[in-house]
Amino acid sequence: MQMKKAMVISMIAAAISATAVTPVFAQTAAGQHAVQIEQSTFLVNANPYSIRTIVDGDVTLASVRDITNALGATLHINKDHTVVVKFGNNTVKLKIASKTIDVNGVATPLNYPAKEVAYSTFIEPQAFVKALGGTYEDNTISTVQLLEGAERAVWVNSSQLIVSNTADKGREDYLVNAATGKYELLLASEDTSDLILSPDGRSAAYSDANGAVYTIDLSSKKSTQISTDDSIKNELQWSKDGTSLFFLQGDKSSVIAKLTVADGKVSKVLEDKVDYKANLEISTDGTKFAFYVFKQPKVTADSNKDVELDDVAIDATGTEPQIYYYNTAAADNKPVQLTKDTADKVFLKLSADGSKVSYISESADDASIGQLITVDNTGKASTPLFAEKDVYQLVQGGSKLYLLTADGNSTNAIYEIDSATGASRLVQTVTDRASELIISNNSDIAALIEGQLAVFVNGNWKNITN
Amino acid sequence: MKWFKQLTIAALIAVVGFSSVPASTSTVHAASKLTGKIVINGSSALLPLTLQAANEFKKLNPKVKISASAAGSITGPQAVRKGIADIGAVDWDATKDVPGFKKFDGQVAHKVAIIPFATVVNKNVGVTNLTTKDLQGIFSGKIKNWKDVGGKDAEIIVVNRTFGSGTRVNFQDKALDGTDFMTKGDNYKEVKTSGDMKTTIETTPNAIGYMDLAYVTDKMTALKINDIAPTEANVINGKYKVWGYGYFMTKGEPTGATKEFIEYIQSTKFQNGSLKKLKFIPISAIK
Repeated sequence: MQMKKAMVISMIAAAISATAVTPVFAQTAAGQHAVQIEQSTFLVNANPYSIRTIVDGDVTLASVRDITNALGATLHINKDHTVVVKFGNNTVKLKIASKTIDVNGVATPLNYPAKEVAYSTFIEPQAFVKALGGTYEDNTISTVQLLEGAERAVWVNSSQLIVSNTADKGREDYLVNAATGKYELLLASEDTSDLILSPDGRSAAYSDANGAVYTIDLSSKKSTQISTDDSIKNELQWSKDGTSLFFLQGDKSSVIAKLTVADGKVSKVLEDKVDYKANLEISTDGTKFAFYVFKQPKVTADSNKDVELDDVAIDATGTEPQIYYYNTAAADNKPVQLTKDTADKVFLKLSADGSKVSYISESADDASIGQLITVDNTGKASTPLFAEKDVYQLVQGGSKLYLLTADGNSTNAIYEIDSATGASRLVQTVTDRASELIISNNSDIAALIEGQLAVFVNGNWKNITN
Repeated sequence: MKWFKQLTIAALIAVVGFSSVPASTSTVHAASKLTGKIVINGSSALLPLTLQAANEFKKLNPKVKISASAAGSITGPQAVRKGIADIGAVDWDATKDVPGFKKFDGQVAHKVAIIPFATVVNKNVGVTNLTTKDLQGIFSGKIKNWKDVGGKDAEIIVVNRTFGSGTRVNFQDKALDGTDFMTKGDNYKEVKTSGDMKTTIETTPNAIGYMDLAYVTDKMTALKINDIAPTEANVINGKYKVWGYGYFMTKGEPTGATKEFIEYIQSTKFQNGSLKKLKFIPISAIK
């Protein structure tokens, strides 16, 4: 699959080079003949940049300054007109019309000398990029080997994310630098659940197909088994103090259970014989829980009748997902049903103090829009907190809520919601091809965009995986 | 002219930036694009898997509404044929005749999981292994006492699934080699769903029944058959024969949200992740 992606990128790059051309005619410095300056799009470490190019005979030369800027390198012109470019540990010096460039003090031949056009220096991109320690092919420049693809991502801190991809056997999880895209393998596993980051960001928990639970230290990358309990565990979640893991237990997710990290013991928090709980949410103090219950439609079928008669009826009345709230201190020790309406519901967030839940409501009418609703822990609903635009996703980042919404004109919008006041603030826009928003506790923003991970830095979206 | 150039370049950059890599799975796309309603009915063995996939799929596609129910495998393709369900979950390939059921013409079978089935007994039964012949004798009603198969002197309570159960079809075909079940008697019970089977086996002394391996709990004993334990490893290595594919049946080739949902449950990510966690076996595990 990785090869396929690389091929696609090359194909796109080739297509770009053939199409993204806007000619500008300029005189050469010597004024001898007109040279056509074109604007071409290069993929530089998976991000598109507009680079000026010229075609001189049968060779294409690219702007030294544009490549330098795209890479984030530094450029200086000496009094003797030597252009000096520094990138990482590499220093490249070049002169107009010279058949060599100086790479870290070593003269290196060029197939074609650098050329000045309209007061800008143009050079063979392959030789220039190689001199800077990168690779060049078909308008694609790579100075960092980026991870191929991103299916799931979570912020570890403001400078690092865990990015997960399906592998031939199981899954691979990587630690990826948010600024550069540099990555390192954290865990390669076959039968494990997604990694769930601990509150302190130093480790992650996961379970295997036998139900055993492990933690992995993000620094040493060593896994430690913390429980041998073999029950099915869905939706592992850390307690805020990092001493326990909560989960929905059993094939029908009917029990809320707690695993103590120190001794691996599993205890039941709620066993109410209600099946198919989902989207477990836990308050900071670990005593209040919110979750959906998915009821199944009632099916009437008489097994004594001829199969050919298709004597089957499905009654879905009253089976819309509903939100339940459980306070371990409740006198009757029973969950409370917070919602009863017929809207479909998706995403669920419990406030840190357990006083209210927020979710996206999708009414039965296909033409209606998704709305952010907040309900207090007695079931009293507020007016929709956000109903101006169709809401696609609800994400929590620290104490704030974030929405991915429709925006129009091929973009979606990202709103920040002050859960205390309900005030909304437009944070940023993103392509409408974004499938998922990822927000850190420090409000760092990333998005999965068609299998690529992009982070929002310095006012721009930057791809940090291929 | 200059503004036009800048606009063109900006547009190209925007296009390139957001289209350079195709989705790694077919269901990774903009959250806003997919709408529709999917009604799923059929196998109770497949219900936990279906609901897990539905929960995950809806987070990627919040505009898609999914309803899933279970009343036995046969009701899956029946509901599809009747037009009241988009997907019929069934524990056999319903495009083909199987003992007791004719094929469903015009439907397409999509493999979604491998389901190992286990013979289970109440905790008070001291037996841990039965031969195929023992099972044939017990479930046909010819062997009535546990002492005849190496256990204590106690009458065997046979718990069977009702007609139409896919688990029943698979168990009869693969554990009993097609031998007919007993159909009545004081020590014979029938239950409608896998959940009912679990409860009955857990609470009925001397009971024997069968269910998909994922439903086995520590309150019952899963028996070896011919000295082979019902494990995922033994299914994959070919030693344990009592397993079947779980299928999603559709009326013709699926489209829209139904197609996307089936592709999601078949995706490597789901098969290697949540499906294994629920103790099913990925369809790719057996070639």
